[in-house]
Amino acid sequence: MIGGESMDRATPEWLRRFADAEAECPSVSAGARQRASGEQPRGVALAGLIGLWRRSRGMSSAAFAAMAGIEVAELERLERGDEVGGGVLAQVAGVLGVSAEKLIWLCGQGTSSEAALGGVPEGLGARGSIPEPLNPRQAAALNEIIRNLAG
Amino acid sequence: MGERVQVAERASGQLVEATLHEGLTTRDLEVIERSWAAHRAELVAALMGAGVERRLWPESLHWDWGRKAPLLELLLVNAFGVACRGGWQAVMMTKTAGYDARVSSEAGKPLVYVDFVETAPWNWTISELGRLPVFKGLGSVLIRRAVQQSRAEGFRGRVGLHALPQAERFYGQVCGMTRVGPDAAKQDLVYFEFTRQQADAFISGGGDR
Repeated sequence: MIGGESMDRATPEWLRRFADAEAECPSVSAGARQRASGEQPRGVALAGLIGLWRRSRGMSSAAFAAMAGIEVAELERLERGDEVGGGVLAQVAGVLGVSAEKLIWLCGQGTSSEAALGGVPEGLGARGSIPEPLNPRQAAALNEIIRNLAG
Repeated sequence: MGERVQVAERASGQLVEATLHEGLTTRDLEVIERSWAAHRAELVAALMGAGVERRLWPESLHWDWGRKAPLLELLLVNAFGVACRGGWQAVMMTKTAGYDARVSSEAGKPLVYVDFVETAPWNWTISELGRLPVFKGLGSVLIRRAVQQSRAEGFRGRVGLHALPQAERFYGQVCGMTRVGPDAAKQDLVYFEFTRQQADAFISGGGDR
């Protein structure tokens, strides 16, 4: 390498050719699956969102657990998609900045009286298979939660 | 200092300058994941909102580069990343020991194994959501770098990897790697390999497409 430029740098023609061909492919990811198909635990969507929220802020599991006042093992159970107690969810909700009611509802462990969430199927995104496409009101309600969790 | 490369910006159709960094640190991977995580979450929301079947979701949606960071502590593990417009656009982790060629003509010879490679979530093509990549060609740039690493190690361009199912087309048809077949030892992912000749063809632009 000379002056930061590779001696066999790809030509523009090479780059365009491969870029166009690559864009026709859905993915270039190589490595490992997380789990085999059909082995997704219940609650995995919520678990993923909580994990993503924590990671997007660069927080370790220990730091998040300490902030929530829960054991790291409990957080790990939650992020694996395993069921945890309502008390743990309430404490996690406090860290996320969402109401405990919202989080418990998203876990499929309760119902919400909030108008924005009314009528949304229980457990949406948290339990079982992917539901039918959402209607606009349901989608808006879900997006509200996502914004709170991921924003 | 990184190596200057170019990537294709889809919207403008132009090639833009980027930097290919080698030797990413644990801290780099944590920064990358922090940047990408919110986009992964947004995609989860969009996919759920659109009712897209789980089997059609991007297969690396759940990845966490922060969790892969400890692998960098191992000897002979290296991480590369492409940075452009102030953000990390793609990452690759390679190993230069412990893996041998499987294609019969070169069986047993050492190669560079691509342990993980992924582009940033905003660079994914997700047809179910009508989403197109911001930058194109990042996977090609990184696999090209893996071939160069293989040559530098004396492995003559031999590279191996296990592709996620959605990426099999890229490695088989675009790059022109040999499809060795599903690997029971690696979650039945299909193993692909560049022979020396295939690597040469890829670098020169004559990949089997």
